[in-house]
Amino acid sequence: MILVCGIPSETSIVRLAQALEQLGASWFMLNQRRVSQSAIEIGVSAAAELEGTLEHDGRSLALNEITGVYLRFMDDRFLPEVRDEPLQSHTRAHSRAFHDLVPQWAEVARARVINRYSAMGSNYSKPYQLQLISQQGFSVPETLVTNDPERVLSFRAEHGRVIYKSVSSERSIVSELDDEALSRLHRIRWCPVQFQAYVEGDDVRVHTIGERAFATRIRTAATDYRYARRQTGAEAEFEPFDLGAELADRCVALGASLGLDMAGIDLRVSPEGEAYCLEVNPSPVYSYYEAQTGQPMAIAVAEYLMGRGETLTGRTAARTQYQNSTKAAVPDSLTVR
Amino acid sequence: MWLIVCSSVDHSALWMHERLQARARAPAALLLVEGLADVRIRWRHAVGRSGTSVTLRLPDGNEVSSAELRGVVNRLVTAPLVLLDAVEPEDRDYATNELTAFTASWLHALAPTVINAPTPHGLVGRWRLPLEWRVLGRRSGLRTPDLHLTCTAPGDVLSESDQPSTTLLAIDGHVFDQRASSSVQRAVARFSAMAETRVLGLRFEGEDPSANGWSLLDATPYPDLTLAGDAGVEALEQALTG
Repeated sequence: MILVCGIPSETSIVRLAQALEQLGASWFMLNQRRVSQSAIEIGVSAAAELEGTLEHDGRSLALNEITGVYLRFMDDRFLPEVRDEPLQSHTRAHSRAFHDLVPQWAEVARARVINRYSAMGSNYSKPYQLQLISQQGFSVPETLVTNDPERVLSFRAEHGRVIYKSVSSERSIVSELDDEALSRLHRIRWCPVQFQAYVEGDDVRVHTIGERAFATRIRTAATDYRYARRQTGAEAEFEPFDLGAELADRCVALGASLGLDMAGIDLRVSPEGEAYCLEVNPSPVYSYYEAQTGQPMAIAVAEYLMGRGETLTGRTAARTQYQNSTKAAVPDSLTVR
Repeated sequence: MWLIVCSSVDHSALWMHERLQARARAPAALLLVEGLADVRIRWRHAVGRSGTSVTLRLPDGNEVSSAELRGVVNRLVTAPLVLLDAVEPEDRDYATNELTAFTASWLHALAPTVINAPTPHGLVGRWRLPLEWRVLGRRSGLRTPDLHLTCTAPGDVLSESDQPSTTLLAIDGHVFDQRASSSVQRAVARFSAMAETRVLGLRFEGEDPSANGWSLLDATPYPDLTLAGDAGVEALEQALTG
């Protein structure tokens, strides 16, 4: 049984639902907007390592029957059914507890999960994630995080075109360090800011799903293609892109090293053909790219959740680092999915 | 050189610093989080083709540089958030996230060996919820008390906090207690590996864990470092030496 968690009308879920139907999968929609008709019980006991039941919309499901999970909850505080509730209301408390427990169970469930919350954390710090990416053999943009304006000026003199963006996963518009931005440079003394050498080339978004990779090239003159119209007045253009076997394999390995069963890897491919990895999105909206190009990602997600193909997420970067540093054998019992 | 990064009220980390200094296997310096809350510090943290580096130029002119550090004992639970006192209220959440994210990155890059390494789920190592600790315990071969969680009655775990318990230090999968049999030691080694955390405090049921069958309640990546005395110091030295 495959469990799909989120808002049924959300595009990624609509497409996944269609794919699961097309493939004849046994699946169950956990509509978080019906949280008041939902309950979960989880048990750890001498008799069972992990067991429990999920009640939803009049149906009851044994947690041990679930072998695949697509976990895409929106922040439950903003659900229309919850947002206007008083702080101490039963509805709000029930919703909070339910939305806490489902991911807790998914964290340790012996199921394929796209994605566990623990794996979705690496991009909370972009330079931290960049270190993990670099350890996987990818070129990364030259990056400086500093609160020293003079150091920034030296960095710009060395690299020419420089962009700046947030250090954390707070969404920010990637912007170029131009003369106007330089006039505000003294403000960085209060909190270090991330600067990067601009890498010329085309943006390529790679979605890895298990051991498969789908690459989409985005052509635009904008610094940040998500804001192409705002920055250039023209929409970005999307097309399927051939990564080649070696780079595709490296992308799959990168996603797996971060513990991500599905990842959105942002590459910039230079005119010389060198692929730089800018960052990895742990909660990619694949449907946007699928709609632009027709690449069959929803089917791939469905097939993966149905148990087809290999799962590679057994070795997270932290696990690899732990093993390298302690020479300890890391049991696979947590990673059998 | 080794570096202990901690708060001025983290007495067990300060004790560890003193012991490492006294044993003198390597110079051991101290960096207090309170000292990091100073806008006069110049930060330089680079990631790129030539690897990663961190340099802090302190107000007194001294530098802390990743180029000179072999190992770090990381005890930072939070970033130096006092720095944000002057930040406008509407920007505070953003600034807190930025500073925490930056702290995780420079801590990770500070030395070849950082114990515990920062994670997305805790600067001092990964914090986990009781359900995860219990399942990890089961899968590693330790006994754990039953646990029952529901979204209507989240009180089960809270009620356990009043029970007698004993916390033991584990470093690189070795728990420091003479009563622990070899099978318990092997289970703890598996547990530590699955938790991917080199320094752990393991909380067992009862005042004598062996009398309760080594029943694991939960664990912490931020234990009291004095729990194992000099045996713990020696183990940490070995861990730092790699």
